[in-house]
Amino acid sequence: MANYITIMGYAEALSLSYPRAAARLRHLHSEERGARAVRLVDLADALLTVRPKERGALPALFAMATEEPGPLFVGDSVLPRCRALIAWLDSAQRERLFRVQVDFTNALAIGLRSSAIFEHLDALRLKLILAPEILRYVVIGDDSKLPNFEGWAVSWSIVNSRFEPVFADSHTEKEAA
Amino acid sequence: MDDGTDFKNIVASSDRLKARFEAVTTKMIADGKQAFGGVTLSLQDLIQLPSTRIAVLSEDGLSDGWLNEARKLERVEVHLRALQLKADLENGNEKAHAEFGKLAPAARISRARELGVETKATDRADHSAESEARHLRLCLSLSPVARLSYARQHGLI
Repeated sequence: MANYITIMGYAEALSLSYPRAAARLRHLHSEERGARAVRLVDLADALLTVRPKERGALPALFAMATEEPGPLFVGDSVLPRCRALIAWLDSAQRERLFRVQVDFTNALAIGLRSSAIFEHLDALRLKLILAPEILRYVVIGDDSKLPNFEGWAVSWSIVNSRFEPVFADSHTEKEAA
Repeated sequence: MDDGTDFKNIVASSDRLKARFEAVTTKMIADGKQAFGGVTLSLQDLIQLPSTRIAVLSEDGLSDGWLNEARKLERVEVHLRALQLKADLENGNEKAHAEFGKLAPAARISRARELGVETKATDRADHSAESEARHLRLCLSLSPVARLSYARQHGLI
């Protein structure tokens, strides 16, 4: 599953003109959909372009986003993206993320007998923010879509565990931000 | 083969033959059920078989070859094929799985239910920590897309 936003949706939510919205999202990766090739930007990427004083419009931004069903997989080599996103969060949002991370780790510990997944735990806890239902909760506090961690944590971890460096180099991180 | 009317008339004409017919067919139905994994042969099926007729009409008793004759009955054949398919599927025979995989998903499920296939994914409770860890490591070596089905197969989730 992923949350996508169109340039039009982004402009409307933040009360920007279309050209200004387009300029902000221009450098982000986008996918084109439908016969009219509407550009869709991953909401997780679009969030990073939201200015501090526009944070009040975040619920509107989520309301404008479309949710596409998809696999649990959040993507390869996404740790720099996750770090950038986490750095963007304000203190209340970080608090919510921390709570999610604790619940997740707990559910994983209950759901498994062995420790094979746990070498990936640190990366998984970072990647959590890219799960659309978790992003929604962390950023705007909407818990209506939060998964039941006990059923979800093991499946999600199995799909998203990967050997990748937990310490990404800072250069990529700056670029992503 | 005729429809067995003559044979039925002959049997009906004599109490002795009737009794023998009853005894022979009862035994055949019981034996058949055992030999073919639960198929109940009907009297109509049995009348078709030369062995039945010989056993009833002559003094020779039931020939041991009757099971082979019965095997060629359509009902038995279908049932045996299904049993074979079920065994192949459960043992992970790749050819059987490939054949089976060609069916539409819904058809696959209903066919599997008909066959009474039980997957080898045993209850989570049987999994020791070591076997879970082994399966998890194997699972994580697969592509993310393939992982969930592997995990389901091995009772990890």
